[in-house]
Amino acid sequence: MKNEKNMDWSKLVRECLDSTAMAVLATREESGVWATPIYFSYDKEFNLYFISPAETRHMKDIKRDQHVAVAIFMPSSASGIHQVGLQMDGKATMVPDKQIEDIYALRAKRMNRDIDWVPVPMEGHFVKEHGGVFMKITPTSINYVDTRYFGGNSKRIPLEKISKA
Amino acid sequence: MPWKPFKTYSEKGRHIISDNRYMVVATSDKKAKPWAAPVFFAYDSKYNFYFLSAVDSRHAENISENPNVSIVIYDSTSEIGLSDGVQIEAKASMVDEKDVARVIKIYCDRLFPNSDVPATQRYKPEQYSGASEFRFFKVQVVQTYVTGVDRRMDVDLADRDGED
Repeated sequence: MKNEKNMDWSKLVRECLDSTAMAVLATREESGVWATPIYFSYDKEFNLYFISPAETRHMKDIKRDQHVAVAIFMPSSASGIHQVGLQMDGKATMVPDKQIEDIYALRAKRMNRDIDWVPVPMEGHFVKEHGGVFMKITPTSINYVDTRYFGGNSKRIPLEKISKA
Repeated sequence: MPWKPFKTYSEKGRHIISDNRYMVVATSDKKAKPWAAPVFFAYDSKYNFYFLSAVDSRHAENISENPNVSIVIYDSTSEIGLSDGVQIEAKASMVDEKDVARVIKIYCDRLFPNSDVPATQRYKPEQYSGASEFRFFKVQVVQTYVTGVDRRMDVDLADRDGED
């Protein structure tokens, strides 16, 4: 069991976020919840970004309720050796037009792709060429799971420590 | 997962499920706030899914308040743009005590396929019953969707029509 006071939370969170480009987004529905796999990128404050068409089920859910949850697990977890992952509560919002180019650059870098087109913000924040909407998830809480250090228990990460890192 | 042609989306869905051992269970609390938790899973021949969790975990507490859950199974190691997945609407509940030994067998066959240790020796049923700290949960599928690039298909996982 590792001493939590000595944990470099930013490093651990980044290790997990860098290990995979896929996350599962949970959105609220009338009778429960809906889960969707998304490709994500993230910024230095650990806000997550994804693109989805406006007519998808999870985007309609978000339009009704911005509260979302996200789960990310390191691919090595699937081997069953160690389980390492993040669970987040967050708020999903559309990326403002003026930030779309920066967020797109972040995504292109993440996907190891050249910026082969410049996203064109349109009314409602649609990006014409892609047919999708750039979305931002601002974490309101982050739980860290790591069987290497904490057994099966998750640890709540103090957000003020990682956002200033 | 290497690319492979499938005759039906049902076959593709079954392949994704059999190739992966981790799934994300999305639940919601009594205020309808969503939560997502990755868990190891096993499944039976009728595609009921099973996982083991602490009773006081947030997702387990949510299930006691609202059994309607959603599940995603995907290959987290796949390249960007090439990943397919299975999305499931389902109802989750704690496994009945009378079924615990049977579920332990299913769970161990899946997670420890080459082990000589008997399942109920590895997980003793009495330790996963009653007021135990950890319990098995069952997920009964209501609807399954197989996702691919830019599309999502309704499937019946048990439907083998059109396959050899």
